[in-house]
Amino acid sequence: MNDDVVLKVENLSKCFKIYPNPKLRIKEWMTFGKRSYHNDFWALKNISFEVHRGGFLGIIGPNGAGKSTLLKVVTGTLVPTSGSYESKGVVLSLLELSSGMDDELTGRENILRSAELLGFPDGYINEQLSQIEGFAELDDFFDRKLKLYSSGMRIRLAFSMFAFLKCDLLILDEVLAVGDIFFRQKCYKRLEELMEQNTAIVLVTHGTGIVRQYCDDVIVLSKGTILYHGKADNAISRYFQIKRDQGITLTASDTFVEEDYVLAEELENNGEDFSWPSEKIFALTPVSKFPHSDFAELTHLAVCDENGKPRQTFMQGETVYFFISYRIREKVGIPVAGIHLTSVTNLVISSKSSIEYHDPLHIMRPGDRVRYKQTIKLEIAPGNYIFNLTLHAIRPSDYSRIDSMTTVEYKENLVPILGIKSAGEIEIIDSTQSRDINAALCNLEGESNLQIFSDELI
Amino acid sequence: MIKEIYIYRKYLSGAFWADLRYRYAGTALGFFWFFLVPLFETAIYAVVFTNIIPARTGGKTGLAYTVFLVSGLFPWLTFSQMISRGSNAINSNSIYIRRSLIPINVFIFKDALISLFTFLIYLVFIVVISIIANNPIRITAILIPFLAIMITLLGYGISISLAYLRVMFPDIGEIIMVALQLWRWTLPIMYSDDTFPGWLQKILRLNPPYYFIRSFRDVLLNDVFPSWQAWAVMFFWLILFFMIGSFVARKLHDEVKDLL
Repeated sequence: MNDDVVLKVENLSKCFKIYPNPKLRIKEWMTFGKRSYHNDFWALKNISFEVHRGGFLGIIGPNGAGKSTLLKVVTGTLVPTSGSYESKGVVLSLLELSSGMDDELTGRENILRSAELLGFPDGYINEQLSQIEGFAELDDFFDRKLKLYSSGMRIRLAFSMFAFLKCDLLILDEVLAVGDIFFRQKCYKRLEELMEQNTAIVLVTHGTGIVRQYCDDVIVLSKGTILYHGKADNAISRYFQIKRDQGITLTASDTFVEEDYVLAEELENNGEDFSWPSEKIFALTPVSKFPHSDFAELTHLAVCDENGKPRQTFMQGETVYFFISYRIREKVGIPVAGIHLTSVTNLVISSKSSIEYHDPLHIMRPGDRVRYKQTIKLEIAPGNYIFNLTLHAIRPSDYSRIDSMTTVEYKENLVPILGIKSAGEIEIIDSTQSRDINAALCNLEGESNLQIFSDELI
Repeated sequence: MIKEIYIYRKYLSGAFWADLRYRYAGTALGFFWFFLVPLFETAIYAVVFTNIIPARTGGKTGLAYTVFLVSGLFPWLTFSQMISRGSNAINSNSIYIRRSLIPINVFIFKDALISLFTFLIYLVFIVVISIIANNPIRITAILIPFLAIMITLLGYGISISLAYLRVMFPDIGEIIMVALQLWRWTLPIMYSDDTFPGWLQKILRLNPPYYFIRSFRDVLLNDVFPSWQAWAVMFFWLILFFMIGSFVARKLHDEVKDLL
């Protein structure tokens, strides 16, 4: 191995045996391996890469891509199924926060014990202790039992320790995603110092900003394979591409052709028609598990983009198309279908119903089907959003005077038919054009003007 | 196996003392529970078998029976505690095993040390009861620590296989709890098998812990050095269970780590 390389991974694969039931494992043992009752799950497939002295390798990828498994194999806590890895010098890993620390010992004792377990001589750690103490900024808590620590304090302690133990390779898994921003900044500064001292760093993260700023080498991991290995900017765009494609890759076995998205047959009792996806697309979202009421049930649900392709991830500014179909069980009145988009923090972002769009309305009778389509232009901040579905009914007599009703009156006259909380989730990601970046919650319409006056003009 | 334990001896001693210190942490009586639990257990059996159900105790009652009882019950408690704790060692230490490079065996061995420590407390009882009952402690008693190590090792050997299998089959945990209860009654602990018919005695002797407990009795009550046959059988069981244990550990180690 080249002297410059501290970690070399070659054709590494890791397979987990998944037994649907422990009984099947016994069954398999009984046949002495002649028959197999498990499913192989390849968490990693043919991974090869090198980490150089003083280098900073970033590993990004969607959840379940195999990032953590990779680090666990490389640090020796999991055994690879095939392939090999070789590391040189002292390798430290901070895989899970405060790994192996004892709640009953103080911060100081924990550091002494952990360092001893990691094989550092007593004298060495005593020299570092004052630096660690200073960096952690735990004050009195440094000499208190760990069980009294908040989760943020644990992170401070664990990171501070690893940051001041001399090593050739430091492996960090998402640890810096937590903790307050000031400490995080300090941590990154410390990582830079470590790199100057020729320590190599491997960081698994979801934070693309960090990758762009620090990593000279980035691996994009997806479904256990290396999708891209190279410069940070390219890696990030590949990473976002995975996220954008996710809706489609979910159904990689199906290929969607143009005919799948055809104009629906003219709806019964409905003078207008609108486009409607095929059953094949609806089949992707099974609705049988959703709750139903005595009055109605949900029969179809699809979330698509403007081309009718089912998607879950949208770029900021794109338009999402919801297609929903209900079957009516009782005579209830005039339908009012709605979709309510809420943020992860339960802030209602959008809550609109068919009545606001003045859709033609008819009385629902048992056996009727109600098809509802709503589009939303997603001028909202990146993140995950949850949508709830509601179906209400309004009496024909009330409907005829709806324009003269107050909002309160209107709401009182709505009869709930069916409500489905958390019917699904959509994810909004950064649009790549920097001009469109909209970090605020949502993009409200408006104008802005800016002028520059030079002295001469005045 | 021995090498692993040697390398992690410092960790082991730290974890061992921490375990003892915190086992009864938060209880009002704290360390006294180490003495109270065996005291109550002895008292219950002594009362039940001398006053309520006349047992086949070879005519012993009261204090004589108590001495007879503890000479079998305490080795058994050491052994059964080793199995019930040791077989759960991987599950209960999974956070450490998952994150650190400390070998699994170290954690099972820690439970062996704890079982030996509890035996030390039992030993205090045995001595005190012997003195009260006027049962002289003779020179053969120097074998006691050695026999304690032997029976703990037997439990340790059995625990290795069980600990690995228990990760894969959680049912084993429940089975062990029931099996230990049944097992206790298949051994001549509360009763004496001297008056049993020959064929039944032969069957009872096939039980792995039989000769271990028997040897304790011989040494403590009868001042008899265990026969060479008894030693042969004891070592046979030790070697057998350690071989099975290391085979199971080798076969299942990687998969068990995946499962944690």
